[in-house]
Amino acid sequence: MNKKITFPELIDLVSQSNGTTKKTSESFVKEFFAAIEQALEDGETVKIRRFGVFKVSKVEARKSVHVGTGEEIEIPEHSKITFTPDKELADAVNAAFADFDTVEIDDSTPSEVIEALEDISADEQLPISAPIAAITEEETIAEEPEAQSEEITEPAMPPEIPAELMAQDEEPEAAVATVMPMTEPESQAEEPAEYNYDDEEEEDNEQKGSFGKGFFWGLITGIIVTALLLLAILWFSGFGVATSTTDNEDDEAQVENVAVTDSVEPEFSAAEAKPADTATKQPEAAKEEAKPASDNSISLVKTDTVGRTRFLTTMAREYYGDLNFWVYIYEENKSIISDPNHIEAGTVVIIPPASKYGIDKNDPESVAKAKAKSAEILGTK
Amino acid sequence: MDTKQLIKNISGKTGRSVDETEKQLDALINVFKERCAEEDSIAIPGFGTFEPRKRQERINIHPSSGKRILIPPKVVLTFKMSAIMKQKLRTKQPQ
Repeated sequence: MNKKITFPELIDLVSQSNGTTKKTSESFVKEFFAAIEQALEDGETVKIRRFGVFKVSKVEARKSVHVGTGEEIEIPEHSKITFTPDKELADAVNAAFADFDTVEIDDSTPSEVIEALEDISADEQLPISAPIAAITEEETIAEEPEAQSEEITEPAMPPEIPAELMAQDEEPEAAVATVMPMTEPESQAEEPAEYNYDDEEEEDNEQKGSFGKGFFWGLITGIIVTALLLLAILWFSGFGVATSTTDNEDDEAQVENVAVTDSVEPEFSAAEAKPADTATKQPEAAKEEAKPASDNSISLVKTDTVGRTRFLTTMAREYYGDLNFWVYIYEENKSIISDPNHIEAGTVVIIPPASKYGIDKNDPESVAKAKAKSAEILGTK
Repeated sequence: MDTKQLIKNISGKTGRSVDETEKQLDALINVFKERCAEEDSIAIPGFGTFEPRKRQERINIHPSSGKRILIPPKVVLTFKMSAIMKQKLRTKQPQ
């Protein structure tokens, strides 16, 4: 891949391919190019079957600017050799993109472009181009962070909505009771997604297609979750008057709410399961509370912890398939990380979804962009 | 000059049969096809470099229908002649 093959290597390959000695292959290859050269110098066009056409073409004199001095200079008329590969050779070179067809664009809306491209990429499993990634990036950024993280888990959410809508009208205590059984399947459903990052990415892509719908559901669930959150806080603060221990718990839960935004329900359900005897069960409840919280923080807003042997590059390779994408993790956590080369072990960083920065390990352009960015970041530090 | 002539030319110079030379040429072309498909570039000293390059996809307007079309990305084999070759051409064809 992207290797430069030198003359001796080429001879090796040729002699291997037809089983002759290197000597005969070498004399042949040398004579082959010498003969072409000779013919070209005589002003002839050389057509080689299955290979291509070599032609000498004239380049007319043109004006240009001297790169160093800025003076105007004239490049004199000269000749150059053009090579047009034969169809067979051209097709072989283009094998990777052979199935692509020129697509007509009827409408000027960007979503059409995306759909067309997604159709292609679904068929081919080939990289989506950088410009398209940029468009979707804008869209995801435009959303509220809450709605965005919800959209990732969207498939798990819709069944919950009707129950919650009903629950809203009921009394606070009853509401919590009805929500409890509903949230459990949700957290279960989230777990597989958490370990299978690729699947999630695909889901993400699909959601881009039906973006309007996804955003609508995301908005609704966002509103409902906030409403529930308020109800639960009200209920808790009422409870906190009676027992002071739960008050602390409530505070803790609130802090976690802020961090994890919308993954509150499992926590509350865990805490509410044993509100009666708080004094003895409190540590237990706290433990249970902590567990779902950390689980959800990985599946909803992906986070990871920097360790002594675990760097941003390690994470980038794990989540995005290429270590060069570490720059985007850094970008996402700029507020916490001052120097990307010296991050304290134990720092929790947010792993942004791959779509947000147009991360695609199969697209050399995307990788190159990340490389350029890393050079920029490391250069300024 | 076409393939036949070229092969005759080469076989005359290397002292090998036309058949054999043809086989050699086939092998050479196959190597080019394989290596260039892998995006390796091939440099021939004193002649030039063959390099596959990716052309980015782009949106263009169809010249006759006037509709916008998306042209897919593709890899093309480019050739750049060497400096020695350039010099030779300049001295040979002053014009």
